[in-house]
Amino acid sequence: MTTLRFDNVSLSFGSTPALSDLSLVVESGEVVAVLGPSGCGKTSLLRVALGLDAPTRGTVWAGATRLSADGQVLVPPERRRLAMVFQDLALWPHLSVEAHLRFVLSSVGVPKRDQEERIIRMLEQVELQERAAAHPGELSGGERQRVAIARALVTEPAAVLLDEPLSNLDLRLRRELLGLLKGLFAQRRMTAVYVTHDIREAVALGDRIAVMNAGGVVAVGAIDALRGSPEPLVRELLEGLTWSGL
Amino acid sequence: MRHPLQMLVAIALLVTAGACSERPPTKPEVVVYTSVDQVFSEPVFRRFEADTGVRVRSVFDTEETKSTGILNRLIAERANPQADVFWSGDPVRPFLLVSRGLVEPYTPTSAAGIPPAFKSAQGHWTGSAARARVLLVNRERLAGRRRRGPCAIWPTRAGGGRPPSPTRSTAPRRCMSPPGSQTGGDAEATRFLDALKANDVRIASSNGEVKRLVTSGEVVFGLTDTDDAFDAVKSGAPVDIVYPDQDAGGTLVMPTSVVLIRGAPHPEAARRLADYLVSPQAERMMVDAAAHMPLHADVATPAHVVPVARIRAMNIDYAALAAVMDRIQPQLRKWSGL
Amino acid sequence: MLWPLFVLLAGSDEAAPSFAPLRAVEPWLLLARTLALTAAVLAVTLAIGLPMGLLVARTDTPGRRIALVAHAAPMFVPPLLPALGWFYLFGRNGLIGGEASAGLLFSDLGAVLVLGLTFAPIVTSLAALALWNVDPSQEEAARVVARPPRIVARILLPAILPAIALAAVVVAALTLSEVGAPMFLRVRTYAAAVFARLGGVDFAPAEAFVLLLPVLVVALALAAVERRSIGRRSFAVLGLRSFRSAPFALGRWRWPAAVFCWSVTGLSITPLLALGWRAGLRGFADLPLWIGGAVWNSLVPAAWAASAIVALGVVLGPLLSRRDRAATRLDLVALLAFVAPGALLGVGLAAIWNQPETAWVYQTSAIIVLGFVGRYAVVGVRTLAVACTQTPAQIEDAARVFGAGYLRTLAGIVVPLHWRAILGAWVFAMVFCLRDLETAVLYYPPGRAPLAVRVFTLEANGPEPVVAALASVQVLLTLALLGFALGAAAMRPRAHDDTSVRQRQPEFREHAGAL
Repeated sequence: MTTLRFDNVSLSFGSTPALSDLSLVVESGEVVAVLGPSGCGKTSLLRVALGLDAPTRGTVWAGATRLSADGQVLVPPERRRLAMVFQDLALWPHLSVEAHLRFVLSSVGVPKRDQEERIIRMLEQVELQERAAAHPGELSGGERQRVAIARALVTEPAAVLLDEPLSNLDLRLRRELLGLLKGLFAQRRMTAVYVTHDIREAVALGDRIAVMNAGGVVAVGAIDALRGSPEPLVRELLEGLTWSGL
Repeated sequence: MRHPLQMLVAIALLVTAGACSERPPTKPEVVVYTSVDQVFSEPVFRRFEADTGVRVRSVFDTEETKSTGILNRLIAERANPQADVFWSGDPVRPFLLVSRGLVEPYTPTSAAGIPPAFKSAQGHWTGSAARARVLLVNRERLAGRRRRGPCAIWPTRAGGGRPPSPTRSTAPRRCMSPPGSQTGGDAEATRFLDALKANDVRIASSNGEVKRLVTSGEVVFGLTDTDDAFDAVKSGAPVDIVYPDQDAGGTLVMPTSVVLIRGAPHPEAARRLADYLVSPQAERMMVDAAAHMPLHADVATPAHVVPVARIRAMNIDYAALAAVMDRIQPQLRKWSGL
Repeated sequence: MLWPLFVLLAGSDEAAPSFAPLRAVEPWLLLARTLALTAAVLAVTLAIGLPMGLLVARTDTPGRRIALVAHAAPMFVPPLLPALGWFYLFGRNGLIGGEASAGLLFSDLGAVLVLGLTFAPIVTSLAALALWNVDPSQEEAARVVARPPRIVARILLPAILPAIALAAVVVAALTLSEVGAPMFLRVRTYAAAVFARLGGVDFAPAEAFVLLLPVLVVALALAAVERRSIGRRSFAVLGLRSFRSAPFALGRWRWPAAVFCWSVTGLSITPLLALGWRAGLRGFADLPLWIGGAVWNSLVPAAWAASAIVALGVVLGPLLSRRDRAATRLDLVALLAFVAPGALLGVGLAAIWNQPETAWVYQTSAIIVLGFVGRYAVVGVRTLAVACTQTPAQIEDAARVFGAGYLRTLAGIVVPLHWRAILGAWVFAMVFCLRDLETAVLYYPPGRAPLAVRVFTLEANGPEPVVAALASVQVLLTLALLGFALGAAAMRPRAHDDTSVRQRQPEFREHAGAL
């Protein structure tokens, strides 16, 4: 597990800014929920962390390693040892569940003899043992979500990033998967960034919550600390929490 | 882009390697470029292969490039010649190679029987089966116009031409060769050509096209070579062949000519092929297949083929003609458009 | 591709490239004439292709699928072959020909009709492909309030406008660069003039290059049209959606429509059948004597080139679909090479590669492969770009995030995911290489003339039945290849092809829209 740090990161596409002077530290073994309205730059933050986009300015660190800095990707995505659960999952339609896990394990260089055991263990944890041979097209929505989670965790990455992974699910499934994620994070002491626009998910999973607006972090802290924040957006988001009765 | 770039380089190398992995030749071979029609030259090469065991790799010209595409290729490849032999459809274009120093002098063993007018004393080129420049006349189209005759399109009559003695004549009575650069000078030639153009003459892109135009009756007659003319006769089209100016300056005769390329990769095989192409045997094949006129006196001809010895051939210096051709190219191009 | 052209310019005998040829009026007249010819061909292809596309894609015209396949055949062979076919029918000594028909055939109008009929299937297929993909809900919403003709005019045609424009660009590009058919029909065109300039007695590559400049301007204009107005949308419009709405019932118009559809189809395949007829038993019997290694000489370089083109497509296609700047530039160069007269590219390549050190390229089929790859790379790149546009970029991103390097992502994700598109691109590239004439004709290695070149060189004085038989072999070879591809594409998709992430498109069918 490693610390993930964003120092004064800006990102713009032409004249359109996506991130502006954003700074954030995710400590080792900590889950930070990134919360904010649509278009505030949450997904851009993850893409910069992954190395899919280079920050226009600023530096991204993993522990003592500079990952990206000032317009350059210093460590390519495949060497960052990060994992991601994409918003629309990005499962590979031609691979079975098992093949998904095998592909990523081989990619990070896990020897063949160890792969089998790790795949079985991971599938047990996400309760997909029976569906190992199925392809994404044959799975239900919840099952696909589990595949995406299993794919992200099976390589034991340095940190895992989740981009609104539960946004398209019904309430029951969402609860079930939140429980699953919480258990997995705790068990593995994962460093994780969990992006969501739903404050209830943020509260349920995050050790701390970072509230984003217009490309920057406007407040960060545990839920109790945020309750005293004067920031209008934070207060607005917290109102949502009151309505839901949490 | 770093990885894709490496990938592109790898693809390029792999493909080139794959495409080049053709087996090296196991038997001797010779490379010949020819502007003699493929339909006639290829059987000769095949016979040579069968007789000698030397593999012939050939490049043929297309009518549409006016039989000079090959010549250009020879010139373009001069730094690193690929061809061993150039079998030209005429004796003029080899001089464009001679003047550029691309020709290896060689007198084929079989050249003794070729009249001196049809070979180079220095061994630059040796003539073989010949064609003549003839008029191909559409009998049906001519029928209604006999009084006027196709020669009416000739704008001027320089010199008093006597009626030709055509071999199968229902044909024009007062044709004569146009005054050319050799006789009348550039100015007169230009005037003649311009007047011709103004006189409802179609400029065809090739001999084959002339044949098509005449056989289809689109034009009454056209100037073409004996091989195309014979092909038209053989197809059953209502056409006749006229050898012009038999009582005047004579008909232009163009032997095919064999040239060896300097610095060629297979000189020994090249000489063998040259010997063969100039031989009576090859001439006989050209006579049978393409109605070419044999230059060897002892090659028998069928009834429809007139041996060179039986017509009056224009007395011409092919080297001088080549020089003129080279010089007047810009005017000719302008005249024909582009 | 710019390299060969540059070498031509720099390495020629002439001291400095002179722009004199462009100061004369003739080239401009010829260019204007060629553009007029192109416009006329375009008009014919649209007049035939649009109604055909509508009929086969959106109506219940009887036998529309078979009609489409048969109608499409001539676009896959060199236009010289249909021209030959028409000649065997309508030439003065043709089957049903006479003086008048021959006069018509060997005229500007004849060339326009021959090329128009040959290229019309390009419009038909692209229009049909796009019509199959119009979001059914758009059409259904209109059906509630409007009658079919109005829906066609106001909803469907505007929706497929990018595909129509794309087809127009392809047809214009092919017409502009076509050499064989206009030369055969004795119609002077600009590309033929450049070809003749390179083949003419006063070999002047630099001059030919100067003559090329106006064509490059036209090509750039075509590329600009493609980029500015249709480039972005053209990708989106060509994918196949997973479901379609029911075709319009034509009612009493059904049989008149069928007559039109089948008449056009008949016109499309007639010249190809005429080749077979003219060949007759004698032509085919004489084939062994004349065909030599031509089939092999065609297939081997074409297969290598197609493989290379697909490999390029696999590398550049995904980048292009994401509008990567370098890939976009390369794509533009590839498009220009496709539109520019092939003969010039050929001579440039010969100038580069005929050195003692690179004889291993110049003396082998490798030189033909290089020419094909340069000229037709755009086919592979565009096909794969279309395919990649159909899948979310995250599919590839995911592989990289999870530790897969570039090659692993290609091998494990991109290639298996798009295998149908790859197969389609391969066949499509192969067909283009097989139908090529003008790129290879000026520099094919001795003894290795491809079939199309052999037809061209034998056509002038060769026996007609043999030429017709050789042409028939070319047609059959191409059709066999396409048949194989259609068979492969029709293989039942495996369960995994059915997914939530829009992977249901039978990508193979996109190949037709790739350009």
